[in-house]
Amino acid sequence: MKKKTFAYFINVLVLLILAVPTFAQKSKKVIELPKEVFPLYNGTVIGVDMFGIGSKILGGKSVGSEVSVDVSLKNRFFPVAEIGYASIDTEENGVSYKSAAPYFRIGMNYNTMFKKKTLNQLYVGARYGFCAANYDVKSPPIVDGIWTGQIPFSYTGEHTNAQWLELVFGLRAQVYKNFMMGWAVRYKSRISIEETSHCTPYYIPGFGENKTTNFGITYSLIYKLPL
Amino acid sequence: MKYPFKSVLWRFLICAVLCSMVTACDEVDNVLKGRSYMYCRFVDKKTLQEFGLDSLKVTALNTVKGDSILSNSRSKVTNVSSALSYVNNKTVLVFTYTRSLSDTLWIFHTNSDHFVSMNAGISVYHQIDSVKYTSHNISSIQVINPRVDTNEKENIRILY
Repeated sequence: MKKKTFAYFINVLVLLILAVPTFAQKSKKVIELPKEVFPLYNGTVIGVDMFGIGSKILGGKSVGSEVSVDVSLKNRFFPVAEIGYASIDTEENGVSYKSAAPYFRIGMNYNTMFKKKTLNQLYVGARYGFCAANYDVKSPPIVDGIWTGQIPFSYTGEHTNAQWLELVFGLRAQVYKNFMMGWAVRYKSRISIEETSHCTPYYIPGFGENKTTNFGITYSLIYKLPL
Repeated sequence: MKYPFKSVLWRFLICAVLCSMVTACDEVDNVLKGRSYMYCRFVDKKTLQEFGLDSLKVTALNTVKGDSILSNSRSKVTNVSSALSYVNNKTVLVFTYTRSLSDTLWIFHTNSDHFVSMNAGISVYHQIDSVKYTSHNISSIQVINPRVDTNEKENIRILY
């Protein structure tokens, strides 16, 4: 009886061992799709920002726009150059501030959806921004409340050079064929902003108010040039 | 294969919210507000330790109202802050200790106006060039920090 039981046990064990590769083979039956292969140069994309134009209507102090050109490298890396123009003409507590100047940015986007053969994108990026701007500050004369006299205050053509860095998080969605639209959120960090002996620049085109960090949004209409 | 675009939107929204939170924590740079004051500290000439005057009245001469009292302390005084003229390059202050004891200080300075920001407006800074004084009670005066701005720091040290 014992011998029969042992033989039965051995048979089951052998069957199990033989069956394992079969199960393994079955589990490997996954349909593998061919990988998308993108060429090194995968096209050029041009975008125009509309948010800067509309922000004045929404209560912003400044108005501007920018054009961006980026090149798709394997649908993964997007070296980008941006050129814009912004102006401000504001007055608070009797002090008026006026400035208008072009600005430039260069950098790179990284498309997190690079494996997908689609124009839709979710990307992160970085930029280096630069602006050389002139500005005017005017105010009514400063009255000395203790001693007599007043100082006139009017400075025109003050000059500043500004540099900053940006972290960009953006989204692009295909609208029709090669046309896309996209939002980008920009976290800006000041590197340097030159000031004169009489004025600290209040606004830097492309960067915004003169603070350590700033926050910006762009809404762009984008077109991918045909390959 | 259909691309899950909704999930992309969600990821983007999360990024946007995180970014706005970081911006909300942004520091406000421009802390300079109001008038610049020259800060004077009193020091004992022998011990070089803080010196206290029993009473002190600081009077500015040639003001809009003639002579104006800027401060009047009857308790122990170890320092005093005084405004300087925006327009003139000389500010005259009289330190009165008692009815019969006083010193006069002539502060010679260069004035400089500066636009700080739209919120903070315009400030006038001063650069102390020299100080002259009578020595009825004062032993000597040292210019420690000639730049007078809205950051309160010791500008002149008066030794008694």
